[in-house]
Amino acid sequence: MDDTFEFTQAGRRGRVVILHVRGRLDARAAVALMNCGTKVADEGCNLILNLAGVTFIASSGVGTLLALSEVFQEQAGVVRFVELSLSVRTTIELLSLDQMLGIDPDEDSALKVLHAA
Amino acid sequence: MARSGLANSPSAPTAIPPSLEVVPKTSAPKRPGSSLAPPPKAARPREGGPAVWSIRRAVSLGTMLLTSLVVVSVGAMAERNTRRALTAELVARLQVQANHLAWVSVSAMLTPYPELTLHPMLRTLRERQRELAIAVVTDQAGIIEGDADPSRLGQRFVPPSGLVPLGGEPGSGWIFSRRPSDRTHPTSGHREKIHPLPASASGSTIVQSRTLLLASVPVVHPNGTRLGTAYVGLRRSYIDEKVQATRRPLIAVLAAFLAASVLGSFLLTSVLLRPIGKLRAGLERIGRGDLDTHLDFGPGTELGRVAQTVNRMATDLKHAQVQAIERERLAHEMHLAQRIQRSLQPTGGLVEAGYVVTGAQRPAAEVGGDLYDVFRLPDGRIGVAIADVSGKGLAGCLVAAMLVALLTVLRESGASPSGVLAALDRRLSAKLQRGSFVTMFLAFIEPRSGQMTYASAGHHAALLVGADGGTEWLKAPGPPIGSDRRNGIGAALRDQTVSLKPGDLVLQTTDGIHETEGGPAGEPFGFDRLIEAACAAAPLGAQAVIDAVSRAVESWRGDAGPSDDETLVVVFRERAPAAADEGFAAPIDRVAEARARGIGLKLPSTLEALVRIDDWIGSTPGLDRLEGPPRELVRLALHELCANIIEHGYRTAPGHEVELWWVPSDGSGSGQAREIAGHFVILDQGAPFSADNWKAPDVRDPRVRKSRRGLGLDLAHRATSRLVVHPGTPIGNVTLVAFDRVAGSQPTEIHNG
Repeated sequence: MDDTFEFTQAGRRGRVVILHVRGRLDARAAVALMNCGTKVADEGCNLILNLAGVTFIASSGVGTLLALSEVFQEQAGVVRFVELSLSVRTTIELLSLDQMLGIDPDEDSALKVLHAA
Repeated sequence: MARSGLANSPSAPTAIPPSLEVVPKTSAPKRPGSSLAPPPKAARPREGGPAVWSIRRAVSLGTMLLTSLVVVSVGAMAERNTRRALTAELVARLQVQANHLAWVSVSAMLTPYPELTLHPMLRTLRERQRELAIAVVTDQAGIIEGDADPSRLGQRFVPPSGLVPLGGEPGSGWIFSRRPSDRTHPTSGHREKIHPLPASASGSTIVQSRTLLLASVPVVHPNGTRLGTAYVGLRRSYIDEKVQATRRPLIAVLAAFLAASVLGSFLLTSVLLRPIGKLRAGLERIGRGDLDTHLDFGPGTELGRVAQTVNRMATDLKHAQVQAIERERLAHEMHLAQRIQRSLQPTGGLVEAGYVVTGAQRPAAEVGGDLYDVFRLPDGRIGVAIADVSGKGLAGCLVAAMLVALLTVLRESGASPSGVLAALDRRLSAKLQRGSFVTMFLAFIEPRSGQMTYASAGHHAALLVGADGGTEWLKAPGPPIGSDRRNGIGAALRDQTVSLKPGDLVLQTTDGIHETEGGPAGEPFGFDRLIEAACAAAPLGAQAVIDAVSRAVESWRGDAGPSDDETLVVVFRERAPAAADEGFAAPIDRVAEARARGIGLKLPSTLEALVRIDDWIGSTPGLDRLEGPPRELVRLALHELCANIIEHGYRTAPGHEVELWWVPSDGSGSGQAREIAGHFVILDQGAPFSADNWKAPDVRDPRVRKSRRGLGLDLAHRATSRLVVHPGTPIGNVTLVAFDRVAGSQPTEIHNG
């Protein structure tokens, strides 16, 4: 499996940006993801982060997910995490963060949550 | 669709471009043959190689050049002298002929028709002497009265141009121009009206040009009246012909001389160089290794002195070769002895049933006869033996080999340590050389009760370091093996027992340890320093004691190498483990165990290297069958622990490695996909981690969430079932990790060893 980290803007629905993340979400990759997510927040958009392609998430990656939640909350925005990979789900559950992060099974569910908000 | 890839981010794995081929190292140059190897044959000059400048040829060529120079010089001088002498003679002859012609012409000139007399006479003269170019008689007015050519009679005689006086006598000779009124002095160049005939005291002249010698003599009546002039001219080519005629025999003589000189020099050089050929042949034999070659040219010559020097050199070389062979033989024997000695040592210690039994040996340069062994008896007891064979080198090693072989058989006889030692004595003493003996300490440990039964055959007492730090010497009576060949030592041996409590440690050494001399006064290391080093390290386990004692002895000895084998064995009964760190005490022993039977990964201290953990898990037997959440937990915890070491421990000391070991439990291999049987050991040399400063982050705090940090160790603790950190041990920071539970376990407390 290719562990090269990359993220792609998979679409935009109004003020909702959808990013697909792939590969190893470790310390260096986390910085790039944080920068990108912060820009989305600064534009006043909401964010859906599809994590299906994440092959490994380190503590710094989990920290970035927490930090993005905090940043969007400060900007009165919302970030939703969808389609968690096994690595992401295991790690988030291990830290009992599943109640602190906005997690949805897929992008449509996340869009509904965002439209309802 | 916009795409924002990070394919080039630092975290991306770096592939080696196909263009960057790994160039295999060129094979190392072959080591030159040892001094014992037959020397390579002397290389002879290759055909077509650089030309050898032969002395014989050089001397012959030089002689030829010098002789040729001499011959040419002599020839040139001889020809010059010949030419001068011949010219002088011909001039005199020419003058005589001119005088004679003038004298015989007087009577003819007094006749009315002098040409009738002079013409036949001059024709005859010219026919007889072909070398004469001119034979003319003129009257006083210069009209030809006598000539061999009758057509010229009555014509004015005009001498050839370019004539100058022979010898340049002052006042003699003039250049005759074709016009009598236009005459020029040959030296001053002044034009003067003068008498057309040369005027000298005698009236006769000799002039010359490049092609002619011309003598003129006045024809004078006996009464003094001048009647005319007689001219006789000689071709100068006649002189060249005569000189050339004399040159041929001279060249022949000189050529013969030249040939004789070259031949003589060639032969002489050959004779002189013949000994040099012999010298070269002798040197080539020496070069091929025939050091018995003897050169003899007579002591009185230069070559004789060279030969004496070469002979001395060959003798010295032979002595050096003999010494080198002896050294090589000794080195080979020593190498063999070292290999035997190494083969006698166990490959690793025993770690089982709460005991760590291990040993170490530092062999001396001159190999001694130390040995140690740790083993498990069929009834489950643990055995440890250490012995010192008197005598060094190959002989001592062979006795040690016999001892090990006998011990392997006798230890399983069910006998007590003293019984085994007595049996060893019976079988071995007859084979020992007179004066040789063996001291030996043998102990059997019952793991469950901790009772250690031991006996000693002349070996010094073992040191017991208690869990409370107290020490005791474990003595046992008995003479060395082989010391009483008549009666044997069995009757004098006694078994002793001691009960090992958890945390107790028994150290036994050979005399190479306590007799090591060093320090400022060169005194022995002694037992006090041994106790001090052992007690300081005993809480850290068996390997720590071995390392500490070895370092102390090495430090005491200084730069010198060990003069005797330094051997030590340690029996350590681990402390009663706490519930959380059961089996995770004695970190140094755990590292030793991991290195002995674990599967390791060495990671450079860079975050990029952490990706290799995934591949390592996937390829390590026992871990490769992990899947699902358990696999994620293992890779997550190992990643976080190693990342923490690299980011924090190696922040101020980069460049080191992190050792990651998987140590499977005995009997592992049947675990389910969600379970792994064994533990991980991580060893690093970074700054010691203090668990006291760590606490689990509170993710409910917004500041913690925004900081994005502090979750790594929390994750590691949540993912693992046991995580014990032993910071700052003598071999580095040791982290022991186990995963006995699967995901969802509650966080455990960190245990700071």
